[in-house]
Amino acid sequence: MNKSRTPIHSGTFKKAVKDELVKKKDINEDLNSLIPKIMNNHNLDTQIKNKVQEIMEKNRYFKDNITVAKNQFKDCVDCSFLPAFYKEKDFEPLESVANAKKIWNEQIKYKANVVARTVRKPFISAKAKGGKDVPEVPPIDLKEVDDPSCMFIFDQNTLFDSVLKVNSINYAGVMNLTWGSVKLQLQTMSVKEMRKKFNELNVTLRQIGVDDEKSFIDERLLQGDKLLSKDFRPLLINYARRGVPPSLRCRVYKKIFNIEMNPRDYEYYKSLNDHFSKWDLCIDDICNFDTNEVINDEKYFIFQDFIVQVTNLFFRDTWVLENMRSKPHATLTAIIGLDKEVGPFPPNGVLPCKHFSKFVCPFCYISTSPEDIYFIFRAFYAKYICQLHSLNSDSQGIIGLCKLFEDLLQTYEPEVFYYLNQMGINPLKTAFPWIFNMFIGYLEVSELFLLFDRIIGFDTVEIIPILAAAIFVYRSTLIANCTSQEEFEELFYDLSQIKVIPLLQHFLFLAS
Amino acid sequence: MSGLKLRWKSDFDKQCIIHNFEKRGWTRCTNDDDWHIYWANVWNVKQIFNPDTGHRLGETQLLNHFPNHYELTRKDLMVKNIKRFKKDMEKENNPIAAKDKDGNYLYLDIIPTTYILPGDYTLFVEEFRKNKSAMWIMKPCGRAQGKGIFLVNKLNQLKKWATCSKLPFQTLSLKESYVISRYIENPLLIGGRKFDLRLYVLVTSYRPLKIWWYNTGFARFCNEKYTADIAELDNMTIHLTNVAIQKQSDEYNDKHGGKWSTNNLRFYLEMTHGKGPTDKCFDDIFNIVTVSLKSVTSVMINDKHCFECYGYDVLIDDNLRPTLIEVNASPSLTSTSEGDRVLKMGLLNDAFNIIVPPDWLDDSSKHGSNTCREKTVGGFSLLLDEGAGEDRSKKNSKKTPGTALWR
Repeated sequence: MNKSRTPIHSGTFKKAVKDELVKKKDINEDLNSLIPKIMNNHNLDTQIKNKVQEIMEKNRYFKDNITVAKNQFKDCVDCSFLPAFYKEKDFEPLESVANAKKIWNEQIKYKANVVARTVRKPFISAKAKGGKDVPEVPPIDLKEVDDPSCMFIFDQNTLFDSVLKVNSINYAGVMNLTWGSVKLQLQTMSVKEMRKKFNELNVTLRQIGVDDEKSFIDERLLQGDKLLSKDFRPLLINYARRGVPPSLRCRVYKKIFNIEMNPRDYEYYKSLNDHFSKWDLCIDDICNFDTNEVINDEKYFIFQDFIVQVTNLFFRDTWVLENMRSKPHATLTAIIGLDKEVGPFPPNGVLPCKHFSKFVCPFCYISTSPEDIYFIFRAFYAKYICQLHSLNSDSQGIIGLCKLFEDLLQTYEPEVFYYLNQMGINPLKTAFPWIFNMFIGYLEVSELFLLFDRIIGFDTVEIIPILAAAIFVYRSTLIANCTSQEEFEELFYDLSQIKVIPLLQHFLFLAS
Repeated sequence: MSGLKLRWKSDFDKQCIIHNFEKRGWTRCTNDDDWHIYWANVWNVKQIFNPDTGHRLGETQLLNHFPNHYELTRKDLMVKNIKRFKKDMEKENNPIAAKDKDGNYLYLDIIPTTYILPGDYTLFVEEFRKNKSAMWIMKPCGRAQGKGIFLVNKLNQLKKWATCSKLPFQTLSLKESYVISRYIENPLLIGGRKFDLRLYVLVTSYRPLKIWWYNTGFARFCNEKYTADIAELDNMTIHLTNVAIQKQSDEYNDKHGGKWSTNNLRFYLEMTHGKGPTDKCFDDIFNIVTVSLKSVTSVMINDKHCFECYGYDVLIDDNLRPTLIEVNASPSLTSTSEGDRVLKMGLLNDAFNIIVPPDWLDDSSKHGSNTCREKTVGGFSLLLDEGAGEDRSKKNSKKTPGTALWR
């Protein structure tokens, strides 16, 4: 439906050169030196640079062998002689994780069928328009469903259990190096590596979110405007690392995610709406039912219409399937009859977790136009949110993030960690909802966006468990004084007063 | 708390009032006059200041309303005072009456075009005829919670209402007067819904004027999508944001009560409209508060025992221009949601900290409600302090600066 758009192609470039030549009657300069000037004038060089950067990013900068190999052998006609991992999509190198993924996929498939049975609809059905051909199915009152677990495909608890179950097959378990509950021994960043990677968050540099005095904000606004007019994406991504002033966020995010909002995009949005009006997905019902709970939040309730619309359209968008950085589960295929394959179900390749629409909520603050909100949310999901729900051995998958949290807590506050273990309290249990939900619903909206800026700027979700660990370390004295589970839970009940950036700065660069 | 042991009285059985008094360790008194601080309803305040009762407030007594607060809080009197203030400022060439190049006031245009009925009826008709497609809103002067309000877009709708009460309109000796204002048909919509702002302002003295601004207010949203469609002119759930009206709607949700904090609103406006326009909008709101209070300083009885916590209702249009709808003397202290409860508790807590600072009973020359010396107390910060830098002992003899013109 939507191939990756090429903003430039040879035709544009040739045309630009031809126009220039036609304009100038006599050519003083050599064509070789003329071409770079033309490129510059039409901003084509920046567009080419942006396109190159996009391709590099999509292929993870060709860092690991698998991606390189996949690219090398992309057009291979006969793949039978290649090892399994060249052919498999979403190959998982670790056997234990691959097994866990298989089990997870089975669970998802099972739950999808359960949900379809609960709402009494096939996966995809044509919407009844009062026509005689389509049978009228009375809508089921979802409040009457007995078993609440039939109402969602997966939620944070089921994923949490799966993460904890993943175990190395050949791990003898004799030396207990780590105290955390994640058994898989993934390597995580050391403190030194963290400081290097997140250097722009250093206390020596002023940040949006900490130094919000007028002079600094004006400076950032000026710089942001200049970068936006220059249009070079890598610089904008770098700019986001120190925070984006709220008034520029919409434009900066759109540029970084390569969202142009030209007529084709509006057309595409409209076509998604058409799909929504014609076809019914069985997950629509549970999503919409869910959303009623999500919008009880006093921060987001006014945007109910946008949230419902964006959520519904999101599951119909095949772009997501093609562009996700990692797949939360294997794509289900919808079948007609016994074996006629129709396509992926849902069309975007992802089934909703419980309260999925909460991920859409903060993006309603970013623009008044639903199209803007939709495209920005979808890009953010494809790059970052999908990783939070994916079981894989990647450092940015959910297992890696959990391990990072636990290792950080153990490194910074071993006594607290030990004390909690003694009391039978698992710190990951408290932090997991924060990581799974990307802190949405826990932090104030302005703080949430400061976090998003850094996620986009550093192009990683590792900031999320780092923030979780920072919160624990910040309250470590209070934790050490807890005597019961209830007291401990009370400490983390309300995160609305948390100031993200000072906390991160202190954790990364000041705490020893 | 400071160890002050005061006696309090309240006409309202509201949790946030009672809780705030009790947690200070103050005692409730049911005895009529033996109180230090009295959170009264406006009727009892009227009795206290009634010259016939001969009641006099004691040195260490504090009351939560000014004797003639209605100069600001009754819709018709507020309009009258603001109009008079405008004329006075223009006459004395005060900079506050400055106009822009189109001849519009820069600071003094805080209310929409309004007429008081029945007195200004002919003036109103003249204005009405100039713009026949405009909508007007009729509000009874003395009522609250959205009661008795209706929209008008044809002259005969008024006559219909007049004949309903079975008396010819112009010679009506109405039991209550009405104000009719230009209805703002292009309110700023968020999520397709209309909203207005409820903001809290504490005044501890009128001459010199001292205004405290509370940093958190909320936006009250309608539960139904806004439309200026004439067919829906009678549907008050679309047009009126009062909680009392919205509670009637099927869509009402008590988890949030249709209230959105002004912090979230400001953040949203910055993200979607830019910092400059948002800052200007909020500066304009400060201006509205200041001008409205300045317009009544000359008529308010500045009793030192009194303070007042006003609920300002402000509407923002889609050009981010705020307008004053009305000022409430007794803003509701009922909590409709958890967030609301926290706000109102904090509001009263900080207000009492201002009015009764820890050293209140110490120095006998410092009694009254205006003894606080700080610039911020909890969520309150000083918006305007005309008495700043002055010798406190001379505060009663000074004229209000702002209105004087040095020749």
